[in-house]
Amino acid sequence: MDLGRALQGFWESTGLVNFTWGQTVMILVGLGLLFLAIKKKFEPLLLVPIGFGAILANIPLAEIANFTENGFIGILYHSGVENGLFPLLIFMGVGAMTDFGPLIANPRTLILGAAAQFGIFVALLGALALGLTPWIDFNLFDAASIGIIGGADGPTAIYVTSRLSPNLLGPIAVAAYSYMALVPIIQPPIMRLFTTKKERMIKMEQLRHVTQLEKILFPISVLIVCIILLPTATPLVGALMFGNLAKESGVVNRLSDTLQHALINIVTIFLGLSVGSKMQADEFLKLETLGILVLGLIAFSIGTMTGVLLAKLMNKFSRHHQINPLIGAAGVSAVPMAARVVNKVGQEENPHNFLLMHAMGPNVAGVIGSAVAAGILLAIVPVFG
Amino acid sequence: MSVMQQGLVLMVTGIAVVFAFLIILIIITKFLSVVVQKYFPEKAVQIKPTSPVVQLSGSTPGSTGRGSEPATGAQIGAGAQIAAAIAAAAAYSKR
Repeated sequence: MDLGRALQGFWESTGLVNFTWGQTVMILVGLGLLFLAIKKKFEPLLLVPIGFGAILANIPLAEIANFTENGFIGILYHSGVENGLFPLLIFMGVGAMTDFGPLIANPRTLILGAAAQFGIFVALLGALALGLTPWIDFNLFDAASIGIIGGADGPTAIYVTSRLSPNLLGPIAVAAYSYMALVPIIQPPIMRLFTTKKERMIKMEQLRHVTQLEKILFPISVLIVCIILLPTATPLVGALMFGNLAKESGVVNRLSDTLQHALINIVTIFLGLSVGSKMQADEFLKLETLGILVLGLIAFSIGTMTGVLLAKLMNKFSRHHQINPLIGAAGVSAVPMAARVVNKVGQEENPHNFLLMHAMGPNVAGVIGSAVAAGILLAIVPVFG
Repeated sequence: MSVMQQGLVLMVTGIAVVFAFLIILIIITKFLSVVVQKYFPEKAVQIKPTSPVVQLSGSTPGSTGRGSEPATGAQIGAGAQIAAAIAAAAAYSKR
Protein backbone atom coordinates (compact mmCIF):
# COMPACT_ATOMS: atom_id res chain seq x y z
CA MET A 1 0.00 0.00 0.00
CA ASP A 2 1.18 3.48 -0.89
CA LEU A 3 -0.33 5.15 2.11
CA GLY A 4 2.85 7.11 2.60
CA ARG A 5 2.79 8.45 -0.91
CA ALA A 6 -0.90 9.31 -0.66
CA LEU A 7 -0.32 11.24 2.53
CA GLN A 8 2.63 13.02 0.98
CA GLY A 9 0.52 13.91 -2.07
CA PHE A 10 -2.17 15.30 0.19
CA TRP A 11 0.38 17.26 2.22
CA GLU A 12 1.82 18.78 -0.91
CA SER A 13 -1.64 19.89 -2.05
CA THR A 14 -2.51 21.76 1.15
CA GLY A 15 -2.49 25.52 1.21
CA LEU A 16 0.09 25.42 3.95
CA VAL A 17 2.94 24.09 1.79
CA ASN A 18 2.21 26.05 -1.35
CA PHE A 19 1.75 29.56 0.01
CA THR A 20 4.23 32.14 -1.17
CA TRP A 21 4.82 35.19 1.00
CA GLY A 22 3.31 37.39 -1.72
CA GLN A 23 0.05 35.46 -1.68
CA THR A 24 -0.10 35.74 2.08
CA VAL A 25 0.38 39.50 1.84
CA MET A 26 -2.32 39.85 -0.80
CA ILE A 27 -4.80 37.74 1.18
CA LEU A 28 -4.15 40.03 4.14
CA VAL A 29 -4.79 43.02 1.86
CA GLY A 30 -8.06 41.39 0.79
CA LEU A 31 -9.03 40.91 4.43
CA GLY A 32 -8.10 44.55 5.04
CA LEU A 33 -10.47 45.63 2.25
CA LEU A 34 -13.23 43.49 3.77
CA PHE A 35 -12.59 45.14 7.13
CA LEU A 36 -12.88 48.62 5.57
CA ALA A 37 -16.11 47.59 3.84
CA ILE A 38 -17.82 45.83 6.73
CA LYS A 39 -16.60 47.67 9.79
CA LYS A 40 -15.91 51.14 8.35
CA LYS A 41 -18.70 50.98 5.72
CA PHE A 42 -16.42 52.31 2.94
CA GLU A 43 -18.23 51.66 -0.35
CA PRO A 44 -19.17 48.13 0.74
CA LEU A 45 -20.86 47.42 -2.59
CA LEU A 46 -17.46 47.65 -4.24
CA LEU A 47 -15.04 46.61 -1.57
CA VAL A 48 -16.77 43.39 -0.47
CA PRO A 49 -16.55 41.81 -3.95
CA ILE A 50 -13.09 43.29 -4.60
CA GLY A 51 -11.69 42.17 -1.26
CA PHE A 52 -13.15 38.71 -1.61
CA GLY A 53 -11.93 38.46 -5.17
CA ALA A 54 -8.43 39.35 -3.99
CA ILE A 55 -8.53 36.55 -1.43
CA LEU A 56 -9.85 33.97 -3.91
CA ALA A 57 -7.29 34.92 -6.57
CA ASN A 58 -4.36 34.34 -4.23
CA ILE A 59 -5.22 30.82 -3.15
CA PRO A 60 -2.42 28.49 -4.24
CA LEU A 61 -3.28 25.60 -6.62
CA ALA A 62 -6.95 26.62 -7.00
CA GLU A 63 -6.23 28.88 -10.01
CA ILE A 64 -9.57 30.65 -9.53
CA ALA A 65 -8.45 33.70 -11.49
CA ASN A 66 -6.80 31.72 -14.26
CA PHE A 67 -8.86 31.75 -17.44
CA THR A 68 -6.93 28.96 -19.16
CA GLU A 69 -7.55 26.69 -16.15
CA ASN A 70 -11.27 27.56 -16.28
CA GLY A 71 -11.11 29.37 -12.96
CA PHE A 72 -14.51 30.97 -12.49
CA ILE A 73 -13.31 34.50 -11.82
CA GLY A 74 -10.86 34.12 -14.68
CA ILE A 75 -13.81 33.41 -16.95
CA LEU A 76 -15.68 36.46 -15.65
CA TYR A 77 -12.62 38.63 -16.17
CA HIS A 78 -11.98 37.33 -19.64
CA SER A 79 -15.56 37.71 -20.81
CA GLY A 80 -16.39 41.11 -19.38
CA VAL A 81 -13.41 43.13 -18.19
CA GLU A 82 -10.75 42.38 -20.77
CA ASN A 83 -13.03 43.48 -23.63
CA GLY A 84 -14.55 46.43 -21.79
CA LEU A 85 -18.09 45.02 -21.67
CA PHE A 86 -18.84 45.28 -17.95
CA PRO A 87 -17.94 48.98 -17.62
CA LEU A 88 -20.40 49.80 -20.40
CA LEU A 89 -23.17 47.76 -18.77
CA ILE A 90 -22.47 49.58 -15.50
CA PHE A 91 -22.70 52.87 -17.37
CA MET A 92 -26.19 51.97 -18.60
CA GLY A 93 -27.24 51.44 -15.01
CA VAL A 94 -25.56 54.66 -13.92
CA GLY A 95 -27.41 56.49 -16.69
CA ALA A 96 -30.72 55.06 -15.53
CA MET A 97 -29.98 56.19 -11.98
CA THR A 98 -28.80 59.67 -12.95
CA ASP A 99 -31.05 62.69 -12.80
CA PHE A 100 -29.66 65.36 -15.11
CA GLY A 101 -32.30 67.79 -13.79
CA PRO A 102 -29.92 69.88 -11.63
CA LEU A 103 -27.55 70.13 -14.58
CA ILE A 104 -30.27 71.22 -17.01
CA ALA A 105 -31.52 73.78 -14.48
CA ASN A 106 -28.04 75.28 -14.10
CA PRO A 107 -26.10 74.34 -17.25
CA ARG A 108 -23.04 76.43 -16.48
CA THR A 109 -22.08 73.89 -13.82
CA LEU A 110 -21.14 71.66 -16.77
CA ILE A 111 -17.93 73.64 -16.98
CA LEU A 112 -16.97 72.47 -13.49
CA GLY A 113 -17.15 68.91 -14.75
CA ALA A 114 -14.59 69.90 -17.37
CA ALA A 115 -12.26 71.64 -14.92
CA ALA A 116 -12.00 68.58 -12.73
CA GLN A 117 -10.53 66.61 -15.64
CA PHE A 118 -7.25 68.53 -15.31
CA GLY A 119 -6.07 65.88 -12.89
CA ILE A 120 -6.21 63.24 -15.64
CA PHE A 121 -3.69 65.03 -17.79
CA VAL A 122 -1.40 66.12 -14.96
CA ALA A 123 -1.17 62.51 -13.80
CA LEU A 124 -0.52 61.47 -17.39
CA LEU A 125 2.51 63.77 -17.48
CA GLY A 126 3.57 62.48 -14.08
CA ALA A 127 3.41 58.91 -15.32
CA LEU A 128 5.50 59.79 -18.36
CA ALA A 129 8.07 61.45 -16.11
CA LEU A 130 8.18 58.34 -13.92
CA GLY A 131 8.61 56.30 -17.07
CA LEU A 132 11.85 58.14 -17.77
CA THR A 133 13.35 56.85 -14.53
CA PRO A 134 15.30 53.59 -14.77
CA TRP A 135 13.12 51.73 -12.24
CA ILE A 136 9.69 52.11 -13.76
CA ASP A 137 8.64 51.44 -17.33
CA PHE A 138 5.56 53.43 -18.39
CA ASN A 139 4.88 54.25 -22.04
CA LEU A 140 2.28 56.69 -23.37
CA PHE A 141 -0.46 54.03 -23.35
CA ASP A 142 0.23 53.23 -19.71
CA ALA A 143 0.40 56.91 -18.80
CA ALA A 144 -3.00 57.59 -20.40
CA SER A 145 -4.55 54.69 -18.52
CA ILE A 146 -3.04 55.86 -15.25
CA GLY A 147 -4.19 59.43 -15.82
CA ILE A 148 -7.79 58.38 -16.29
CA ILE A 149 -7.87 57.34 -12.62
CA GLY A 150 -8.17 61.09 -12.04
CA GLY A 151 -11.57 60.95 -13.72
CA ALA A 152 -12.65 59.20 -10.50
CA ASP A 153 -14.88 56.98 -12.50
CA GLY A 154 -14.19 53.27 -12.06
CA PRO A 155 -16.00 52.03 -15.21
CA THR A 156 -14.34 54.68 -17.41
CA ALA A 157 -10.91 53.83 -16.00
CA ILE A 158 -11.42 50.12 -16.65
CA TYR A 159 -12.77 50.74 -20.14
CA VAL A 160 -9.84 52.93 -21.18
CA THR A 161 -7.24 50.65 -19.61
CA SER A 162 -8.71 47.56 -21.24
CA ARG A 163 -8.23 49.33 -24.58
CA LEU A 164 -4.84 50.95 -24.05
CA SER A 165 -2.77 48.90 -21.62
CA PRO A 166 -4.58 45.78 -20.40
CA ASN A 167 -1.53 44.62 -18.46
CA LEU A 168 -2.11 47.41 -15.93
CA LEU A 169 -5.82 46.69 -15.44
CA GLY A 170 -5.33 45.26 -11.97
CA PRO A 171 -3.59 48.11 -10.20
CA ILE A 172 -5.49 50.80 -12.13
CA ALA A 173 -8.89 49.32 -11.34
CA VAL A 174 -7.93 48.88 -7.73
CA ALA A 175 -6.62 52.46 -7.52
CA ALA A 176 -9.69 53.92 -9.26
CA TYR A 177 -12.14 52.09 -7.05
CA SER A 178 -10.19 52.67 -3.84
CA TYR A 179 -10.00 56.41 -4.43
CA MET A 180 -13.72 56.51 -5.19
CA ALA A 181 -14.25 54.83 -1.84
CA LEU A 182 -11.87 57.25 -0.17
CA VAL A 183 -13.53 60.43 -1.54
CA PRO A 184 -14.80 61.42 1.94
CA ILE A 185 -11.23 61.32 3.24
CA ILE A 186 -9.25 62.73 0.30
CA GLN A 187 -11.45 65.61 -0.80
CA PRO A 188 -12.45 67.65 2.28
CA PRO A 189 -8.94 68.84 3.24
CA ILE A 190 -8.30 70.01 -0.34
CA MET A 191 -11.69 71.71 -0.47
CA ARG A 192 -11.01 73.55 2.79
CA LEU A 193 -7.49 74.51 1.71
CA PHE A 194 -8.64 76.38 -1.39
CA THR A 195 -11.75 78.08 -0.03
CA THR A 196 -12.37 80.64 2.67
CA LYS A 197 -14.98 80.17 5.37
CA LYS A 198 -17.06 82.90 3.75
CA GLU A 199 -17.00 81.14 0.39
CA ARG A 200 -18.00 77.85 1.94
CA MET A 201 -21.03 79.55 3.45
CA ILE A 202 -22.37 80.91 0.16
CA LYS A 203 -25.98 79.96 -0.30
CA MET A 204 -27.15 79.22 -3.81
CA GLU A 205 -30.52 80.11 -5.22
CA GLN A 206 -32.98 77.29 -5.57
CA LEU A 207 -32.94 75.34 -8.83
CA ARG A 208 -35.87 75.81 -11.16
CA HIS A 209 -38.22 73.03 -12.13
CA VAL A 210 -37.10 71.07 -15.21
CA THR A 211 -39.77 69.70 -17.54
CA GLN A 212 -39.85 66.12 -18.72
CA LEU A 213 -39.32 67.19 -22.32
CA GLU A 214 -36.04 68.87 -21.40
CA LYS A 215 -34.94 65.73 -19.61
CA ILE A 216 -35.75 63.65 -22.69
CA LEU A 217 -33.96 66.03 -25.06
CA PHE A 218 -30.81 66.25 -22.93
CA PRO A 219 -29.43 62.71 -23.38
CA ILE A 220 -30.22 62.84 -27.08
CA SER A 221 -28.42 66.15 -27.57
CA VAL A 222 -25.37 64.97 -25.60
CA LEU A 223 -25.21 61.89 -27.78
CA ILE A 224 -25.50 63.93 -30.97
CA VAL A 225 -22.68 66.27 -29.92
CA CYS A 226 -20.61 63.23 -29.08
CA ILE A 227 -21.34 61.54 -32.40
CA ILE A 228 -20.24 64.64 -34.27
CA LEU A 229 -17.20 65.61 -32.20
CA LEU A 230 -15.82 62.51 -30.59
CA PRO A 231 -17.04 59.12 -31.85
CA THR A 232 -14.45 57.32 -29.70
CA ALA A 233 -16.36 58.42 -26.62
CA THR A 234 -19.71 57.14 -27.88
CA PRO A 235 -19.51 53.66 -26.32
CA LEU A 236 -19.33 55.24 -22.86
CA VAL A 237 -21.56 58.25 -23.53
CA GLY A 238 -23.98 56.15 -25.58
CA ALA A 239 -24.43 53.57 -22.82
CA LEU A 240 -24.89 56.34 -20.25
CA MET A 241 -27.44 58.21 -22.33
CA PHE A 242 -29.33 55.06 -23.30
CA GLY A 243 -29.83 54.29 -19.62
CA ASN A 244 -30.87 57.87 -18.94
CA LEU A 245 -33.34 58.01 -21.81
CA ALA A 246 -34.86 54.71 -20.69
CA LYS A 247 -35.55 56.37 -17.36
CA GLU A 248 -36.65 59.82 -18.50
CA SER A 249 -38.82 58.72 -21.42
CA GLY A 250 -41.17 57.10 -18.94
CA VAL A 251 -42.38 54.53 -21.47
CA VAL A 252 -39.96 51.69 -20.69
CA ASN A 253 -40.08 51.63 -16.93
CA ARG A 254 -39.47 47.89 -16.90
CA LEU A 255 -36.17 48.31 -18.74
CA SER A 256 -35.18 51.29 -16.66
CA ASP A 257 -35.99 49.35 -13.50
CA THR A 258 -33.83 46.42 -14.63
CA LEU A 259 -30.93 48.72 -15.55
CA GLN A 260 -31.08 50.49 -12.20
CA HIS A 261 -31.27 47.41 -10.05
CA ALA A 262 -30.90 43.89 -11.42
CA LEU A 263 -28.42 44.55 -14.20
CA ILE A 264 -26.12 46.93 -12.38
CA ASN A 265 -26.11 44.72 -9.29
CA ILE A 266 -25.21 41.60 -11.24
CA VAL A 267 -22.49 43.36 -13.20
CA THR A 268 -21.14 44.96 -10.01
CA ILE A 269 -20.70 41.48 -8.52
CA PHE A 270 -18.90 40.23 -11.64
CA LEU A 271 -16.80 43.36 -12.01
CA GLY A 272 -15.88 43.55 -8.34
CA LEU A 273 -14.73 39.93 -8.18
CA SER A 274 -12.81 40.34 -11.44
CA VAL A 275 -11.09 43.52 -10.32
CA GLY A 276 -10.18 41.95 -7.00
CA SER A 277 -8.78 38.93 -8.79
CA LYS A 278 -6.20 41.14 -10.49
CA MET A 279 -4.59 41.69 -7.12
CA GLN A 280 -2.47 38.60 -7.60
CA ALA A 281 0.82 38.71 -5.79
CA ASP A 282 3.11 38.19 -8.78
CA GLU A 283 1.41 40.92 -10.81
CA PHE A 284 0.48 43.32 -8.05
CA LEU A 285 3.48 43.53 -5.74
CA LYS A 286 5.62 45.64 -8.05
CA LEU A 287 7.09 49.12 -8.00
CA GLU A 288 4.77 50.11 -10.86
CA THR A 289 1.75 49.50 -8.64
CA LEU A 290 3.08 51.91 -6.05
CA GLY A 291 3.65 54.50 -8.80
CA ILE A 292 0.09 54.02 -10.05
CA LEU A 293 -1.39 54.39 -6.58
CA VAL A 294 0.57 57.61 -5.94
CA LEU A 295 -0.19 59.09 -9.38
CA GLY A 296 -3.87 58.20 -9.02
CA LEU A 297 -4.01 60.05 -5.74
CA ILE A 298 -2.29 63.07 -7.32
CA ALA A 299 -4.69 63.01 -10.28
CA PHE A 300 -7.66 62.87 -7.96
CA SER A 301 -6.43 65.68 -5.72
CA ILE A 302 -5.61 67.97 -8.63
CA GLY A 303 -9.04 67.34 -10.17
CA THR A 304 -10.64 68.36 -6.89
CA MET A 305 -8.46 71.46 -6.70
CA THR A 306 -9.06 72.67 -10.27
CA GLY A 307 -12.81 72.12 -9.87
CA VAL A 308 -12.88 74.32 -6.78
CA LEU A 309 -10.60 76.96 -8.34
CA LEU A 310 -12.69 77.23 -11.50
CA ALA A 311 -15.83 77.64 -9.41
CA LYS A 312 -14.10 80.56 -7.66
CA LEU A 313 -13.13 82.01 -11.01
CA MET A 314 -16.73 81.79 -12.22
CA ASN A 315 -17.81 83.83 -9.19
CA LYS A 316 -15.46 86.61 -10.31
CA PHE A 317 -17.40 86.91 -13.56
CA SER A 318 -20.90 86.56 -12.29
CA ARG A 319 -21.72 88.57 -9.20
CA HIS A 320 -25.45 88.00 -9.28
CA HIS A 321 -25.61 84.23 -9.33
CA GLN A 322 -22.89 83.25 -6.91
CA ILE A 323 -21.96 79.62 -6.75
CA ASN A 324 -20.49 77.95 -3.73
CA PRO A 325 -16.98 76.93 -4.82
CA LEU A 326 -17.29 73.69 -2.87
CA ILE A 327 -19.52 72.27 -5.60
CA GLY A 328 -16.55 72.44 -7.99
CA ALA A 329 -15.04 69.53 -6.09
CA ALA A 330 -17.96 67.37 -7.18
CA GLY A 331 -16.78 67.75 -10.76
CA VAL A 332 -14.63 64.64 -10.32
CA SER A 333 -17.50 62.19 -11.06
CA ALA A 334 -17.60 59.64 -8.19
CA VAL A 335 -21.40 59.95 -8.23
CA PRO A 336 -23.00 60.54 -5.79
CA MET A 337 -20.32 60.30 -3.14
CA ALA A 338 -18.53 63.51 -4.17
CA ALA A 339 -21.78 65.49 -4.08
CA ARG A 340 -22.56 64.14 -0.62
CA VAL A 341 -19.12 65.18 0.56
CA VAL A 342 -19.72 68.71 -0.77
CA ASN A 343 -23.00 68.85 1.12
CA LYS A 344 -21.33 67.66 4.31
CA VAL A 345 -18.43 70.12 4.12
CA GLY A 346 -20.88 72.94 3.38
CA GLN A 347 -23.03 72.03 6.36
CA GLU A 348 -20.04 72.06 8.68
CA GLU A 349 -19.98 75.83 8.16
CA ASN A 350 -23.70 76.39 7.92
CA PRO A 351 -26.04 73.56 8.92
CA HIS A 352 -28.89 75.14 6.96
CA ASN A 353 -27.05 75.22 3.65
CA PHE A 354 -28.18 72.35 1.43
CA LEU A 355 -25.72 71.99 -1.41
CA LEU A 356 -26.54 68.41 -2.41
CA MET A 357 -28.72 69.18 -5.42
CA HIS A 358 -26.41 71.99 -6.53
CA ALA A 359 -23.44 69.63 -6.34
CA MET A 360 -25.26 66.97 -8.35
CA GLY A 361 -24.96 69.24 -11.42
CA PRO A 362 -21.14 69.27 -11.58
CA ASN A 363 -21.13 65.69 -10.31
CA VAL A 364 -22.99 64.26 -13.31
CA ALA A 365 -21.16 66.74 -15.55
CA GLY A 366 -17.99 65.10 -14.29
CA VAL A 367 -19.22 61.75 -15.57
CA ILE A 368 -19.73 63.24 -19.02
CA GLY A 369 -16.42 65.10 -18.73
CA SER A 370 -14.39 62.02 -17.86
CA ALA A 371 -16.10 60.02 -20.61
CA VAL A 372 -15.12 62.77 -23.06
CA ALA A 373 -11.56 62.81 -21.74
CA ALA A 374 -11.50 59.03 -22.15
CA GLY A 375 -12.66 59.43 -25.74
CA ILE A 376 -9.84 61.88 -26.44
CA LEU A 377 -7.23 59.55 -24.98
CA LEU A 378 -8.62 56.65 -27.00
CA ALA A 379 -8.55 58.78 -30.14
CA ILE A 380 -5.11 60.40 -29.83
CA VAL A 381 -2.87 57.99 -27.91
CA PRO A 382 -2.87 55.25 -30.58
CA VAL A 383 -1.90 57.89 -33.16
CA PHE A 384 1.18 58.84 -31.12
CA GLY A 385 1.98 55.34 -30.00
CA MET B 1 8.99 64.23 -30.53
CA SER B 2 9.98 63.14 -27.05
CA VAL B 3 7.52 61.33 -24.85
CA MET B 4 7.10 64.34 -22.60
CA GLN B 5 6.28 66.53 -25.59
CA GLN B 6 3.68 64.03 -26.68
CA GLY B 7 2.28 64.15 -23.18
CA LEU B 8 2.07 67.93 -23.26
CA VAL B 9 0.35 67.91 -26.65
CA LEU B 10 -2.10 65.35 -25.31
CA MET B 11 -2.75 67.53 -22.27
CA VAL B 12 -3.41 70.69 -24.25
CA THR B 13 -5.67 69.02 -26.83
CA GLY B 14 -7.37 67.00 -24.15
CA ILE B 15 -8.26 69.94 -21.94
CA ALA B 16 -9.27 72.02 -24.96
CA VAL B 17 -11.61 69.37 -26.33
CA VAL B 18 -13.17 68.62 -22.93
CA PHE B 19 -13.89 72.31 -22.39
CA ALA B 20 -15.10 72.82 -25.97
CA PHE B 21 -17.40 69.81 -25.70
CA LEU B 22 -18.97 70.89 -22.44
CA ILE B 23 -19.28 74.54 -23.52
CA ILE B 24 -21.11 73.42 -26.65
CA LEU B 25 -23.31 71.33 -24.40
CA ILE B 26 -24.03 74.36 -22.19
CA ILE B 27 -25.12 76.37 -25.22
CA ILE B 28 -27.31 73.58 -26.56
CA THR B 29 -28.87 72.90 -23.18
CA LYS B 30 -29.66 76.57 -22.64
CA PHE B 31 -31.10 76.88 -26.12
CA LEU B 32 -33.29 73.80 -25.73
CA SER B 33 -34.50 74.98 -22.34
CA VAL B 34 -35.56 78.33 -23.77
CA VAL B 35 -37.34 76.64 -26.68
CA VAL B 36 -39.07 74.09 -24.48
CA GLN B 37 -40.19 76.64 -21.92
CA LYS B 38 -41.48 78.98 -24.57
CA TYR B 39 -43.22 76.62 -26.95
CA PHE B 40 -43.82 73.46 -24.95
CA PRO B 41 -44.52 74.58 -21.40
CA GLU B 42 -45.44 71.74 -19.10
CA LYS B 43 -49.14 71.86 -18.32
CA ALA B 44 -49.85 72.46 -14.68
CA VAL B 45 -51.01 69.21 -13.17
CA GLN B 46 -54.74 69.39 -12.51
CA ILE B 47 -55.48 68.56 -8.94
CA LYS B 48 -58.90 67.02 -8.64
CA PRO B 49 -61.05 68.72 -6.06
CA THR B 50 -60.67 65.92 -3.56
CA SER B 51 -58.16 67.62 -1.32
CA PRO B 52 -59.34 67.79 2.27
CA VAL B 53 -59.24 71.58 2.28
CA VAL B 54 -61.79 71.82 -0.49
CA GLN B 55 -64.00 69.03 0.71
CA LEU B 56 -63.93 69.68 4.42
CA SER B 57 -63.98 73.43 4.52
CA GLY B 58 -66.22 73.79 1.51
CA SER B 59 -69.65 74.97 2.58
CA THR B 60 -71.36 73.29 -0.34
CA PRO B 61 -72.55 69.97 0.97
CA GLY B 62 -74.49 69.38 -2.19
CA SER B 63 -71.34 69.17 -4.25
CA THR B 64 -70.65 65.63 -3.20
CA GLY B 65 -74.17 64.57 -3.86
CA ARG B 66 -74.06 64.84 -7.62
CA GLY B 67 -73.24 61.21 -8.00
CA SER B 68 -70.96 61.90 -10.91
CA GLU B 69 -67.95 60.63 -8.97
CA PRO B 70 -68.73 57.33 -7.34
CA ALA B 71 -65.47 57.26 -5.41
CA THR B 72 -65.99 60.63 -3.77
CA GLY B 73 -66.91 59.21 -0.41
CA ALA B 74 -63.79 57.11 -0.27
CA GLN B 75 -61.72 60.05 -1.45
CA ILE B 76 -63.06 62.23 1.31
CA GLY B 77 -62.13 59.51 3.74
CA ALA B 78 -58.60 59.37 2.33
CA GLY B 79 -58.36 63.16 2.31
CA ALA B 80 -59.46 63.36 5.91
CA GLN B 81 -56.95 60.73 6.86
CA ILE B 82 -54.17 62.66 5.15
CA ALA B 83 -55.27 65.86 6.87
CA ALA B 84 -55.23 64.09 10.20
CA ALA B 85 -51.76 62.70 9.47
CA ILE B 86 -50.44 66.15 8.53
CA ALA B 87 -51.95 67.69 11.65
CA ALA B 88 -50.41 64.97 13.79
CA ALA B 89 -47.02 65.43 12.15
CA ALA B 90 -47.21 69.21 12.61
CA ALA B 91 -48.18 68.79 16.26
CA TYR B 92 -45.37 66.30 16.77
CA SER B 93 -42.77 68.58 15.23
CA LYS B 94 -43.87 71.47 17.48
CA ARG B 95 -43.30 69.48 20.66
